[in-house]
Amino acid sequence: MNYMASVAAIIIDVLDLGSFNIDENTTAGDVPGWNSLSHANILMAIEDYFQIEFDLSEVLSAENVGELVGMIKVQRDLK
Amino acid sequence: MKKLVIYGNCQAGAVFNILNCTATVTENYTLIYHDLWPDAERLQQEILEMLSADVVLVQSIRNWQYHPLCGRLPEHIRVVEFPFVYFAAIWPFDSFVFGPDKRMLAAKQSFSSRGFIVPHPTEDGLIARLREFDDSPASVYRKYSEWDHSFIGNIARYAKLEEARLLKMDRDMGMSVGKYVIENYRIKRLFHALIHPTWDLIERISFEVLSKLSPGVSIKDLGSHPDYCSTHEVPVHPKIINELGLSWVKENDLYNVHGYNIADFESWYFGYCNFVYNADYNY
Repeated sequence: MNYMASVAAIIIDVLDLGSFNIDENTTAGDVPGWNSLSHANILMAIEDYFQIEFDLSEVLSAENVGELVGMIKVQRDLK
Repeated sequence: MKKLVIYGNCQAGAVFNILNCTATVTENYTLIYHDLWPDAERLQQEILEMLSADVVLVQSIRNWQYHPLCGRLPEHIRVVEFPFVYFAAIWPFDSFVFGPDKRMLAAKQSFSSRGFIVPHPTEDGLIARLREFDDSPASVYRKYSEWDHSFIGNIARYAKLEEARLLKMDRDMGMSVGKYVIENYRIKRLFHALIHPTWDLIERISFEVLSKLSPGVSIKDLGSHPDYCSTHEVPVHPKIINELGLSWVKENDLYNVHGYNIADFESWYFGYCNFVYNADYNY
């Protein structure tokens, strides 16, 4: 599974961006509309897609998309 | 007399209003409020005001990062950060959370440019998304009201994520407003709409700020001020009422729209659609 591509597609879909270049180093501040208000929607969509639940004590500390992808992999491995 | 500047959105404006009628504050400070959208001339004036302040209260909001004085205030100026408070699980489709309703935005801009008061200050991103597939208000309403869509399947989980965000906000700022929201959002109204707190919550935020300025004060020391946002309420979706177990609101409640108790959930929705479809504008 290409985690990075899937996460990028989810972010683009949730924020209704049409197209946007998102990679591992992308931060919320780089993406139009990705702010603290829309963040929960993105996390919910990722959880639904990957059938995981993030660790609530960790997920808000992710500094960029790469770290978010890393947390997804951890949760997938735990299943 | 010392000078105190408060920077932030309408919540910050409400905090300013309360502190500005609080004797503990006004006996020591002259207060000035800076909103997020000054024009160029006003911004220059505000920069001078901020540079001559003794205390700057900065709301934790992204706009501050683009302010010319962000990270550049002299060390002798005390900077106190305070939170921008909302709980998105109650209104997850508000445009601030879910994305814009561009058609509604165009309608509002057209309406207000002709001097009319816009009846629906907020935008609903889900209505916009559903309208992309079916332009019939009745059909969209059925999908909207029956939750016949794939957006946000688990509201309780959404609330858990929001609670985690609020607790992190408390930790980051050394305050307890988030904890207060978590303990109370099910049992009493804390917001009129996504980002518009009730008097109760604004008072709580103001108290936390006041406690930073004057440790040892009581919440009873705060001045009294009208609940500035109570005239614009957004209905809570019945499914959200049930799944979050909100006891302060019922499915058939009426909501204030411009100060009148005139809209239940369904009539608010169709009023919204009527405005989108019938306002005279070019989209």
